[in-house]
Amino acid sequence: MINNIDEINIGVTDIRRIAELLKSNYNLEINNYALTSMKRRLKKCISINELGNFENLMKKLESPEFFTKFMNDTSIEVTEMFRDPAFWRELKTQIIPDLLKKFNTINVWIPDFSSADEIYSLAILALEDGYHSKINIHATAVHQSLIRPSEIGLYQMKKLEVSEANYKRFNDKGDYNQYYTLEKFGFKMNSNLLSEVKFSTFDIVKDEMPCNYHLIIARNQLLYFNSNMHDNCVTLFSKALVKDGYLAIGTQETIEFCRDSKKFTLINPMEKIYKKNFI
Amino acid sequence: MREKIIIIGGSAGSFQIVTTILSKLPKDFKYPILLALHRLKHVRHGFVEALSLKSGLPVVEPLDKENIRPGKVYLAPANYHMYVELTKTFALSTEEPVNHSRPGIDLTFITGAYVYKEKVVGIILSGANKDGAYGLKKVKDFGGITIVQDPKECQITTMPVAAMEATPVDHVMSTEQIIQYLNSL
Repeated sequence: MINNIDEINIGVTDIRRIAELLKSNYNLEINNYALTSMKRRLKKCISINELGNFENLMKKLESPEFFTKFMNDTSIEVTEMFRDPAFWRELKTQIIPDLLKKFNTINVWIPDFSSADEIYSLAILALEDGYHSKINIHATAVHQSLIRPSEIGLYQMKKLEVSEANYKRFNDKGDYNQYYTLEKFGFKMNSNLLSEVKFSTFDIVKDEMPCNYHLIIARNQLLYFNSNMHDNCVTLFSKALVKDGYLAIGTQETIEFCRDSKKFTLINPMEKIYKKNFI
Repeated sequence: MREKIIIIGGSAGSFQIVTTILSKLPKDFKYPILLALHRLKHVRHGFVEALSLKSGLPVVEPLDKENIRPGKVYLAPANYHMYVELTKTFALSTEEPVNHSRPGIDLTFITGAYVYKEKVVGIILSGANKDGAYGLKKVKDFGGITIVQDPKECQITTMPVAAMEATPVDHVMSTEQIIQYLNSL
């Protein structure tokens, strides 16, 4: 598989051309994504759709129907439910209880939710600890084509083993089986898990500032942005959070070089959980 | 000083080799060393410490967007792919496993070769699958130096053998020879 993807040539000028096309035809801004991973996602899309080369991708993108497929084929998968089980245990035992002491309901923002792994992990956590109704989850995607109600929570079989193994490390007394049903070619997460979840679009470049969130779970999202966008996101997150709100990013990510890094205190260095300071 | 970058890939049986190599490099070793090693997903701590024990050079797991600096050893973090970005920084990724692995050896080699071209010294060590074979080929394609650990010496020969099948490597070396070679750069 890797040979196919890598043999496809995409140069810097190509990236510029596709950025222009996506902007003019679909009002989608892709200039601020990290270059290498962006290229790989484009190559993957070309490979999945058997397009052969970049030129064919450009031609195909003139069709709005294909654009929806393109968006889904190039979206990043967080890839695992309960990724870094220690993080989810920290959320369960420290962060959420702390927030519930201060606030009656917790507004959680999960930006660029992609494969919805983080949404389901949080929903299961909340359900198990009895505060499912006290958490409002707002999951956003950069484009409407990425919000597909009929497909959310539907996963390939190969994902089940990893999800279950992670879950066991998160809660060795729990039973993951109760949260899904087996389907023909995979499994589907129970729809009741999404009862407190709202989906909408949000584009950091264009949309108005959200606010009043108590918790932002943006783990392994900043990886895919370039430094500029990474910086802008952190500023956005600082404005979106209430005082004493929490920001969770990926364990190998950092906000230390961002202009608004001082607005946060790193309270858990292992799991990269930050608390928003006063101001 | 001519710029170079050392990229080492390995899996089962490579840990001892890497620690031996790192223990025999001088503290003022002039080039960055990237370690793309298969590792247990959930073991996020301890591997860097174990590698650091006898290493003359600092060993770190890079953060996303961290600069690649000479004389430092960078270990691909658990459950992330480690790319080399055009800006000579690290770009991490949580994309799907490649050759059943994340970190994927191929990805570090491919992106390293693309950015550093003939400056790459690529080394494939002992391992149980073919990850890295294609990556080493890319190093060759871009004009870098390609080395595999001598299969006769390897705990598991699959990885270096696959690499040799994918491309005519420049050197088949024992651990001692690899150490000598790196010290001579």
